[in-house]
Amino acid sequence: MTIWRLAWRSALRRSRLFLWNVAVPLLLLTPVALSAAAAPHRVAVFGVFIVFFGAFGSAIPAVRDARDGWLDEILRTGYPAPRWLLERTLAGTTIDTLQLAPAVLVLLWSAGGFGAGPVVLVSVLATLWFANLLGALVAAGVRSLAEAALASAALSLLLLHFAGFFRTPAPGWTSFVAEWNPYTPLRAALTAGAGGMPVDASVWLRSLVVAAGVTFGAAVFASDWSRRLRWPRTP
Amino acid sequence: MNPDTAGKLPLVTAEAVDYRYPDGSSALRDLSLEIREGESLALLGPNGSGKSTFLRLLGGDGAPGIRRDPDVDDAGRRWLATDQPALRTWLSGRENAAILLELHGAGPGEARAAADAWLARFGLAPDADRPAGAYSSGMRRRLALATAFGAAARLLLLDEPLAGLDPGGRTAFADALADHRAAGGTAVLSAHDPAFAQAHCDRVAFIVDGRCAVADTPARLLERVGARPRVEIRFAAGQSPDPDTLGPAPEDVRTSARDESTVTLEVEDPRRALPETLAWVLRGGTSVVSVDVREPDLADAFAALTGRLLEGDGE
Repeated sequence: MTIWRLAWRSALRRSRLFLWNVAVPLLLLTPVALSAAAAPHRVAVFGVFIVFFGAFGSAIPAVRDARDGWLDEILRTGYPAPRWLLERTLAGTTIDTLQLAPAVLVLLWSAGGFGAGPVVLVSVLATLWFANLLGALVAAGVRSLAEAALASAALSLLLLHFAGFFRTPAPGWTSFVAEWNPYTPLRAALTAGAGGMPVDASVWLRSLVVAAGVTFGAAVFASDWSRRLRWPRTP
Repeated sequence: MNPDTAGKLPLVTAEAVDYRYPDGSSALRDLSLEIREGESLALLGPNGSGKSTFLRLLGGDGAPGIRRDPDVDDAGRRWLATDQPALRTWLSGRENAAILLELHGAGPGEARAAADAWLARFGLAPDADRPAGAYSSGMRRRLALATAFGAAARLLLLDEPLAGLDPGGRTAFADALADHRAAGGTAVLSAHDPAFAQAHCDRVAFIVDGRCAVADTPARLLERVGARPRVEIRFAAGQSPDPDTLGPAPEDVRTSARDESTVTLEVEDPRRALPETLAWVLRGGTSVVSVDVREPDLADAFAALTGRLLEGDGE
């Protein structure tokens, strides 16, 4: 778990940046949570923020690590690429969750209780896991920080749209896609948290199957993937 | 130094290796070279000759034509220190070294102990807890070398290890290299310093245009070209005499060359020849500004054997 420890040590060593990453979501999301906006609108803002936080926070450092040679330095030691990817994703997920937790707690508090708290926490963790994985995937396919940001935003918005954050999926294929979308549980959990509604457990199953499948695929192709990330610095 | 590694088994064999960068430009062309167990091999060549690419291929995923001994085929048994070490600038030097050593397979305690020991050997103990971002380029080089030797890898690949090192750092590096070899390790390093290669490496390979022109011990390379010591006599600008007008040259003088301020003479034995040679040159009637005696080095051998200068792209 060296990469996991490295990620945490790096995050805590840069304490000002860590606190900034707690303060910014809190400052931006608190007014939304406390506003009179309808629950779906508040959920949409939270959903976009959480997914962007995870995807950008993974893609941009991955591109930077590739460009400055650090990724090459790590993988040349013989450390397995799948372990690097999964430990990095796990560390990113837990750090992001901790940094977003205060803002999410404000949303729950504003809705009058923390009853949906455990479900929201699990869904935020699952969402950030997928978003961090997606960020690393995006990083392997781009050549600059700007492209990483653009591609992460485009892909995330597309998935958020098909998860029903911006409009309720109509019966038919959009509904089918929403059922298999890894961000659908977050929408369901945040909606429950913001409006005090119960969460339908069935939203979890298919989405988690997709997230697990992507995780497995990422681990299998991690070596090839990391080689793409290392280009063109290394032969 | 181990004067002859001819009998040693090859640890890595590169045979007719060709490599092109993804943009299509050619980096290595038909490069063949054997790296023998327990030797220190210096790659000498001008910028852009392919030394770094070759080292990266040896330390990375390899390439068609490169055969590694199964023992060093495992990345955990080799270590490549690149010419531009990447650091986590917000972590201390000790943490940077220890993390990479852990990733290489050492336990946390073992990695920290190795990092401490090698940082001390490279004179970084007082700065071990400072953020690596505050290190000078020379200190970063020392940190990269301390980490490389701390890995205790069987095959060490060092790209430009001398770049940015002060004399103390060079001495520390030379001592570490000697200890690595004494422990049975093999080292391949790229360098632009022929004197270091001559003094501290068992063999030297001349790399030109992505090819290995020749590889041999420093002594044999010098023997091959029959290079002799040179006496360089400097005069005021435009005052150097033409040796052809000075009458018969002393017996020890083999060749002579002249430009507007310098007369360069190849001699057999400079100590014996110097008084007579100076007297001969001073027949020209001008006053001497300085006299230098230069022993032949690998830069001379490089020029003679490859037709290229070691520094720059000159023919």
